[in-house]
Amino acid sequence: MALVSLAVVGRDNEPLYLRDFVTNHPADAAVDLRDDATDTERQQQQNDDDAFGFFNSEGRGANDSCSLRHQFIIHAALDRFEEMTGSSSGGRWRTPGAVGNNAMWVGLLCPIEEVRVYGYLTNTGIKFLVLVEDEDDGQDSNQTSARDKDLKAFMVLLHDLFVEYTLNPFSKLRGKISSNRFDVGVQKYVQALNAKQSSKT
Amino acid sequence: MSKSSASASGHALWAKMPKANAELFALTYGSLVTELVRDYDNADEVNSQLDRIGHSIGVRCVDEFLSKAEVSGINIPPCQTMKDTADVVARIGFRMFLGVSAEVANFSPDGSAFSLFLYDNPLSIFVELPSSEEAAATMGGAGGCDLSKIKYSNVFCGVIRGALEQVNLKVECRFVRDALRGDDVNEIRVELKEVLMDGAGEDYQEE
Repeated sequence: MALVSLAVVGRDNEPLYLRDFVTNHPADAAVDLRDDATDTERQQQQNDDDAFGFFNSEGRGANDSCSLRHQFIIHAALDRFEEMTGSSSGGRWRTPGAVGNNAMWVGLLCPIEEVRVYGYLTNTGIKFLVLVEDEDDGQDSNQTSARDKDLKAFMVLLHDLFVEYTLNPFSKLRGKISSNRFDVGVQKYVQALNAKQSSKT
Repeated sequence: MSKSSASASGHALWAKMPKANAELFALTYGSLVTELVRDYDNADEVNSQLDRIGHSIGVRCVDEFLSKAEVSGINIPPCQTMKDTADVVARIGFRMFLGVSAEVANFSPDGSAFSLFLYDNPLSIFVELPSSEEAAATMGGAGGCDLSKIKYSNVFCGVIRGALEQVNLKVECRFVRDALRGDDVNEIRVELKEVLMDGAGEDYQEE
């Protein structure tokens, strides 16, 4: 189980941060497409897939390195997100009596092809979506709930990073997140999460 | 003053000062800086405005500093050399008003200049300066402000300058190393330009 992609989406469903994390080998920690490391294998693989130049990451930072396919998946999941948390649902998704971070955790939105999408909604309407690759099918409920707990903890950390980003007086309030500190923090947390998951399974 | 007694005095005075929420303080200063950035288009202008603001703070701070020390029974003897001044500013002054301890080092051979090192800066706890490419991209080519050149904590330089001016020491301060720009510490270089004579003395002499 590996986290392959994450997205931060604003109140009006505008994309604030889209980022892919690719694992080449199950045992490796996640690396992101943007890395300028001279990994010839990875370059080869990218060039093979990259018929239209979508993966050309030279002009981009870590933000926006999300592949088109993952972006489509995130779009689809957003619809489900709206359905679950919108005004028409009447707050049915929330466990009654949950406060704070527990109240913000939406949970599994939907499985799409081989990934599952999890969501988290802050009080200010910022949505975090996380795409997780499913490897085993026959998982027992213990594993799933442990995985859910890990993801919830990860979302809380992501929320903290986001808050720290907004407290920077130079950050733009609406618009793409372009902060080195945020990028580095996300990378660190994703690597820790993926390492933890791969050591468990 | 010996080093340890200066630190102890600084700590004692800090304990008596009313406290404010650190986040509120940092965010207020941040909004001040962004407002200045909006008003003035270039980084040098913003830096000099911050220095000016610091100067008026410093001019008022020094009286408070000396009177509070007096009232608490902490004796700050008149400084004989620049080294004494440096110690008082760093260990007692900065400690009392900001709660952070600053170190002094790198004295010039004639003792008229020193460096003040600040390891943690309460003003910049959330701040991340945009990199120069980002700044260029957001401002376009229309002569916008290069945010990466801003000396975010330049107000400290103004404060030191203003405070020492009130005790007849004309100094020049500037930031040599800035943690926000990637260095490991904040270093302010303070250089004595001249010792001012009392203005009243001159008037009397002329009469």
